Amino acid sequence: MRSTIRCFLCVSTLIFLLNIATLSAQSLLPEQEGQRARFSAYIEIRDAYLSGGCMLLNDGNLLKGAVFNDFGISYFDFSYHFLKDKVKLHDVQKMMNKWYLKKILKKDLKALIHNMREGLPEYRDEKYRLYFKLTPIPESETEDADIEE
Amino acid sequence: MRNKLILFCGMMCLALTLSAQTQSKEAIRAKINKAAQEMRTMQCDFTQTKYSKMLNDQMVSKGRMCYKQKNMLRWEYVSPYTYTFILNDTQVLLKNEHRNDIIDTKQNKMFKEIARIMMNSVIGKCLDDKEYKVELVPEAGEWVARLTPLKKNMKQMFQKIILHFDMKKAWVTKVELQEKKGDRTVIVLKNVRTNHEIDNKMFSVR
Repeated sequence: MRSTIRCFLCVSTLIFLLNIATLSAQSLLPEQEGQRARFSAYIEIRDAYLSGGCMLLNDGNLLKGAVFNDFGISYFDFSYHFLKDKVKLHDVQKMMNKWYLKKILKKDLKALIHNMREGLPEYRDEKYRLYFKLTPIPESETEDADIEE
Repeated sequence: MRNKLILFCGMMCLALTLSAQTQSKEAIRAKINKAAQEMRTMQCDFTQTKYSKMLNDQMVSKGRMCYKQKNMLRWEYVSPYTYTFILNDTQVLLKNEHRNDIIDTKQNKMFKEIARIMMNSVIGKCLDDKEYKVELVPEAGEWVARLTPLKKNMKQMFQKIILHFDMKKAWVTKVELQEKKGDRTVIVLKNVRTNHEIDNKMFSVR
């Protein structure tokens, strides 16, 4: 009887822990085609930083993204091919449009996307001292609503 | 002879019409400039919509704005993220959930330019700016100024800046920032209040 109860408790605990692991690994990316997601974006570049917003769209084989500052002005757009596991940058703002910066940015965006798939909304590039964080914004907060006085 | 007379009258009418339109635009420009000069303070709520051409999607953010002559501006986002931009003479405070930064625009030309554009767009002072080609036309009950940047750095960022003016009050009701790649940001000003007292604490950068 006691061994049965112990066995039951062990199995229950195992199932519970597996569920926690599954929940915490829930992807932050829009996983279904046509699905969209919005984030507030924060990118630290050594002593400086970029902040603003990020919109993502699952467009079949591609994850498309737009990153822009708080005033809505674009930093860059990007696309990530799910099957090729490759990031492409598009329309990069002049200040960031240097080949060496874009190379690092592509690598780090790929790492960030991998992390977000595992439910982690950030990535730290220790070598070049960059830090990326995308904080999910609930759908309702990006809809038209009056400001509270 | 009769045909020549008709032609002459027609040309005179056309000349007078064109002249009236030109005068009207100059008068409106003067009215807008006068309103901007007389605006000691301005407070409003705003809704900002960022449209991404690549994603065919948009994101809405909300905030509040305060302005005080001559060089004080507070631009604060409250939803869906918090971010505050305060300009106080030559100092700029950038505040978000991660950090606060104070920038001296005397040493940072880029921020000086951003602050100048923001301030002038919101109070409608861009029309006399030599750095833009300005077209001012009446459209759907308002005056619309289309500003095409002439300087290289602005040309690289924006294709056009479009300001919408309330015809009666001659102040800005909407700002559209059109980027070269097809994205645009539209800022609609609501609940505008002018020339009410605003505490200088609102513009503190410390």
